[in-house]
Amino acid sequence: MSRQADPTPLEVIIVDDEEPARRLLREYLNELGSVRIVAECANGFEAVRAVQEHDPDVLLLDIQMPKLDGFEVLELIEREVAVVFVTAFDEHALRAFEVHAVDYLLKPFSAERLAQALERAQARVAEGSPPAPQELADDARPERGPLERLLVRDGAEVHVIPAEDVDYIEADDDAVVIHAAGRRHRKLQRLAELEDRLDPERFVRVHRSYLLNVDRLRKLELYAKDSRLAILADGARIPVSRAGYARLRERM
Amino acid sequence: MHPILGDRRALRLYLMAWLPIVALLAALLRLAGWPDWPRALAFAVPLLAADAFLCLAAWYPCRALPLSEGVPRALLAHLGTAALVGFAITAGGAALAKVPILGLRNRAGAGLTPSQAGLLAAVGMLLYLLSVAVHYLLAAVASSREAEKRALEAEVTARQAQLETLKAQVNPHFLFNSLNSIAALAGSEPATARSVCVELAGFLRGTLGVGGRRWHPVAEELELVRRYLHVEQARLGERLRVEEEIDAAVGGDSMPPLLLLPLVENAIKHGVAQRLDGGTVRLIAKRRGDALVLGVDSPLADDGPAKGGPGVGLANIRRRLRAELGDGASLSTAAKDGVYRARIVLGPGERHRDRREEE
Repeated sequence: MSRQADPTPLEVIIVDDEEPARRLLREYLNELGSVRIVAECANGFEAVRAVQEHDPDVLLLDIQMPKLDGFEVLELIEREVAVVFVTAFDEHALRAFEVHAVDYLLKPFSAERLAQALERAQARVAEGSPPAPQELADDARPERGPLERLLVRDGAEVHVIPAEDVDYIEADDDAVVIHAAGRRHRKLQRLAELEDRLDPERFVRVHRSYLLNVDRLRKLELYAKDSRLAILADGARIPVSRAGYARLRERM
Repeated sequence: MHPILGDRRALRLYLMAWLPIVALLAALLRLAGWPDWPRALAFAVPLLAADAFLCLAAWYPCRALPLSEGVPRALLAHLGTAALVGFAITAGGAALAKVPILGLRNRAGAGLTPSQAGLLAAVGMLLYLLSVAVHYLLAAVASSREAEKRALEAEVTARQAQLETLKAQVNPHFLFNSLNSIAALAGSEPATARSVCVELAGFLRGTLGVGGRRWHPVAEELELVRRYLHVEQARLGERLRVEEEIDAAVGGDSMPPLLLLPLVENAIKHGVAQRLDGGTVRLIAKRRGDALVLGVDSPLADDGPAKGGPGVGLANIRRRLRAELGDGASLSTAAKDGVYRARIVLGPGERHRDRREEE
């Protein structure tokens, strides 16, 4: 077992809501030797927390899980990590994986197949080029209707915000600030990306930096030539550009 | 247009069928005093050639007046038309008889004698009526063939629906997850791995076995469902808890196979598996009055019935109930106090429909 002498074992986190599935991965990984399991997670919340805490090299990630699925976990991770999806059967996901050359394991899989996936992951880590988890989630996630909820991480805490609770979203450098139910949540994501994924019937880009939930709009005030202010139900005021006004009128 | 006119081969056959009639008319003409065979044939051929096409015209009134919508009316119309055709043939014959080359001379001078005219009228009418009869016969054959084809198509559609249902039963996701559980247990708990294998095999054998059966005993359905839950238990562990509320007396009742199973699958997929701490699946099979009630209670997902929901499976069950039992059965669902309740009610007429039908 020369590999056990490896000074820097690959650090791995296992994420699967099924105990037997975790057990199998654990057994296989223990036999490999050059791998250290730094955390085992039974759900997406634990996974997000564990990744922030342990900063692993590789994430073995189940897709179908309660509350937060595998893609949503990736959306909340801001660390560089090589991801290997683990799934039983999901035609849509598989097609997306094939298209984006994402590594995945189909349950049940052999120890050899796992070793192979880890080697590839290790190579990606060594090159320092695993794709950012958020990009990976965007690429590999199969297309499914508009977003029904937004996920925000605050330290190790994950907040789930239903889309209908959002008042408006504001761009802030390369992040966004989500205003919902009187609270502000910051998230590393581009406003255009959110605009694409949210229901266009409800969310209108009223300004370069603002995405408005039209259900919250109380009235519009002329502010200067070609620019207006939207007054929301809770009294908040956000700017409306000329193009944004045209888009609003189109919706009304 | 008449179908024969659009088909050269059919038209040729049809005209050939008229050759014996030509010969027959020539013979009748000879008996009615025609001077010789060549002239009788020269007279009969053009006349009957015209009649052959006149008789095809029967297609239109036959289509317009199907016998199923009143025989007397149709008969009257056809007799009237036949009289017209007889008159036309007689008039044509009279004109033809005056053609000099036919050289027809008799006591009346050039032309037809009254008995010859009567003969032509009778032949014209009879041939037309014969054509009407043949058209009705062909229409009857075609419609019975059509009915047969429709019945066959309906049968194929029903089979297709059944196959789809069966295919959906052996859900690949379930199968691969179960195999993965067995692989995991094989290392540390070989005895459990074996028992999961046995239950999975029993489940598969059971679902494959009901293929093609319209009814099976409730006890068999429950057996299948229990095996399914046993296999899922290996995967979900303590997250899955099972309770039963089963009236032993209903075990012998009959039900269409694989109705309860999709409800249990939904209960796991959209309920228990969507919850961090899982939940209880409650199986229900009991009598209410004379009706049989089958059902499943399951916990709602943590975030309510958001992601996808059990719509497709339920629609499929409803379709089957409607197709197989009409108004005799129903499926209802309700979400209340964190519990999702699904109930299938089979009316008394259905419950007692026993296996005699099968055997």
